[in-house]
Amino acid sequence: MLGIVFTSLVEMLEENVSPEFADEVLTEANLENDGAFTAVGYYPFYEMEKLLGVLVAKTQQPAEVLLHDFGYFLFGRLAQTHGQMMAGKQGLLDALEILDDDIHVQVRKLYPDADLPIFTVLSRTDDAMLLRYYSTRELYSLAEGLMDGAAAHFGDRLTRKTVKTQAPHTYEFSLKVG
Amino acid sequence: MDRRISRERQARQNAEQLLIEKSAELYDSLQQAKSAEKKLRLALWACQESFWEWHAHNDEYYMRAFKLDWADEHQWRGSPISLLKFIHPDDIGNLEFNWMLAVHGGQQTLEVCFRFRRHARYVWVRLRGRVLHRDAQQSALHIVGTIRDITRERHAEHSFHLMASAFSSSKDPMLVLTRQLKISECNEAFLKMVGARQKQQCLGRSLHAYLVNKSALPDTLEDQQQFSQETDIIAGKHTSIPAELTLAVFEHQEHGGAYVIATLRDISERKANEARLQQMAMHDELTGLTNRAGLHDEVCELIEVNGQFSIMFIDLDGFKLINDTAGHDCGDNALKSVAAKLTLRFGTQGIVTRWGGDEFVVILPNAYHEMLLECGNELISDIEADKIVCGDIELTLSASIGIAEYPMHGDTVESLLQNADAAMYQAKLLGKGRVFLYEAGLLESMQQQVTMLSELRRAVNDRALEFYLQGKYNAHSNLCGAELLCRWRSALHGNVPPDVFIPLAEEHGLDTVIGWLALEAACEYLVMMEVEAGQVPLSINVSANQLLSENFADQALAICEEHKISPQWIEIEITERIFICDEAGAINALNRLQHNGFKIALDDFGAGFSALSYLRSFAFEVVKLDKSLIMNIHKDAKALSLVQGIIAMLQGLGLEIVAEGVEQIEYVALLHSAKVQQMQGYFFDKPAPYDQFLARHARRNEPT
Repeated sequence: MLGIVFTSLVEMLEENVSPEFADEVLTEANLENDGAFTAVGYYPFYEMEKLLGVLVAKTQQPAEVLLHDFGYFLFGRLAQTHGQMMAGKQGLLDALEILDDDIHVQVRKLYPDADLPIFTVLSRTDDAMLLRYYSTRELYSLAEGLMDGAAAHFGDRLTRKTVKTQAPHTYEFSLKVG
Repeated sequence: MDRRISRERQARQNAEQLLIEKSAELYDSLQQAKSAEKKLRLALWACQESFWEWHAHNDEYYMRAFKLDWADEHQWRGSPISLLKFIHPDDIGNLEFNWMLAVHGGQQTLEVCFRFRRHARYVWVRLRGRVLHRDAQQSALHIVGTIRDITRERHAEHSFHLMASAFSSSKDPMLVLTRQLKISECNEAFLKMVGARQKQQCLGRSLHAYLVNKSALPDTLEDQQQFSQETDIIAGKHTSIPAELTLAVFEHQEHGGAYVIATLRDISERKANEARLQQMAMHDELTGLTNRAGLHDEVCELIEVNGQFSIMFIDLDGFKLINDTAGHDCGDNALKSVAAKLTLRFGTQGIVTRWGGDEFVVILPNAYHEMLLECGNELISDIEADKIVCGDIELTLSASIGIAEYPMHGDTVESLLQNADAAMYQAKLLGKGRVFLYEAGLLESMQQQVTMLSELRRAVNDRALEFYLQGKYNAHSNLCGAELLCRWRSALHGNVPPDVFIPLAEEHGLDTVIGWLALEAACEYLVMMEVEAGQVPLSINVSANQLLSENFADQALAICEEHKISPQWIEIEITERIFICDEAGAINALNRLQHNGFKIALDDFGAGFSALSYLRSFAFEVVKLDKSLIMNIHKDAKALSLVQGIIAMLQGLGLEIVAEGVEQIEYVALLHSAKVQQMQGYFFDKPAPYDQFLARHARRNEPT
């Protein structure tokens, strides 16, 4: 998993709770690098699972909720860091459409073997989209948070519905804006 | 707080480490990419392919032509319009069509050849490409491919097409065969020759199957071997065509094997011509009979089987006259007619040949000479029975036949023919129109004659003949004239008598020259006599041939004038034979001579038929009585009476009379009493050379 996800999580904890809380979480998670993440680094997914486990225990909140909130926060970060990618995008649906073609391409420049989720636009109208999500990590909550964050970024009112499909690790997001 | 600082420091160090690693990775992969691209460029360069691509969004072509050295790489960028300028006008249509198929027609690949202008000349290029992206309307957005100069291949291909077309359209049958001579390919001409409707009937079959003589061909051909032979090709169930077959082995560069190219040439026409020439070479065109060459082969065959046979050598008598007076067409018809008679009489049992001119040769197996003599005589009667009419003249032919028998008269073709020829010649000498069977020694004597003839010819040409003089005397034994008599002293044959060499000369046309020599000698003698002894008239003998020759009288006068001798001193002696040859011509010639001033004497009167009518036809001035009339007149009263009667008759006609053969004194008195004016003979003198003759008479005429 790309380092920016870890650094964004640490930043979220520091900003939304406190630097001390973030320090506690990092310490308790007993991480391989003691939490010294860098945004351009690439770290095993189980490190994220360790952090998620500590957070669930500390906050008594379900993982899905935590992941959703984190997704929401993460979009803001990404939009900041990769501002040029968002330039010219009219709205949420436009931004989502380039997920696979653009953002993931940037990741692969540094980590050609990165295990990335696959987003496929199944259908698209001006104000609606059916998006398929495939990931062995099953982080659909994170994806939902990202979408909500994106909607907030573009000022779009988003109505969405998530359906788990018959296929393994595959979800379909039905999105509508306006 | 410390942990956070330490964590951030750690994170920064990690990030720096990561940066170094990623830079190194980036550099490596850039190097790899460059290396891969270089390999690709080299590969394209090695294949002589150039890279091109086209993008729909700017409708621009981009080309890269690779070189070994990177710096030499050629790049070109331009619009379709600027590219079209380089393309041969004739190829633009096709290129555009293919381009549209790829761009709008949904065709994924593109391959098209066209001429492209480079350095002021056109080269052939092959453009290949593939559509990489299409838009929603399926129009191509991006096409990439390669382009290659195929001028050389194109020429090779062109040349290959030409060769293939030459092969298929060649009028001569051609085949491609395996080394084992099985047919892999053949052209139309071959199918036509062997009467096959489809190529499939022939492919895979062995060439041997089409040869009448299968063993004419080897089973396989060795490397580099050339093979050429005349052979008969099976052209149908019952027909074959003679052909010249040539095989040549070629190594196949690609497959490492070899193949054989066979060409066949129909030589039936040549063969037919050869046969016709053979026929012509062996046969006479006019009569259709076997000719000399054909005869030679036939006789050689007969000798080989050692059968007995005879040769008849037939020479026509009087043929020259037919040719000369009636013309060659008439002569040819006469020859054909004789050929027909020969074929009718001998064609079934023997071989009839035209030997040449008016000569024929007949070979008769198992014939004996009694029968041959009979056959020959019958044949002569046959030939003589034919009358050849030419205008108002009626001419006849006869034949002289010589016979020789194998093996009695010769054991080779040459000797047999020679001997039969000699026998024929002998038949001619014996009076023509007869058959003569060869006898031993005949040829040798004939050969001697031949030698004599060549000697005589040399003597005539060298003016080696001598002219003796024999005087003519009056009753008082006074010289009143002389006759020139020709003498020949041959180094080889000694003194040859005139009755031997004169007929030989006449037979071979030498008599005319001898006649001129005699006239010249007479003139010379007269010139000398004038100075030394006083002139007497001299007489010379002129043959029928010469007398009848054109302008004889004028030429004779010219010779006299040349020597400043009046023709009245020359007496021309002729015999009655000239009237037998051509009476009108003879009278005409004699008149001209007389008109030119020559005196004309009839010689040998009383020796032959002595038709008195000649004496009426022409006004002779002198008649010479033949010695046979004079002989024994002193003993034989009848002979004397006859001579006296003849002399009286001639005197009655007002002719001068000269008696020849006066050998004895008794004759002189009797002739004198019969009033013969001149006498000639051994009683008075023998013929002598000019010097002796002059010496004798100079003394006699000296003033006393």
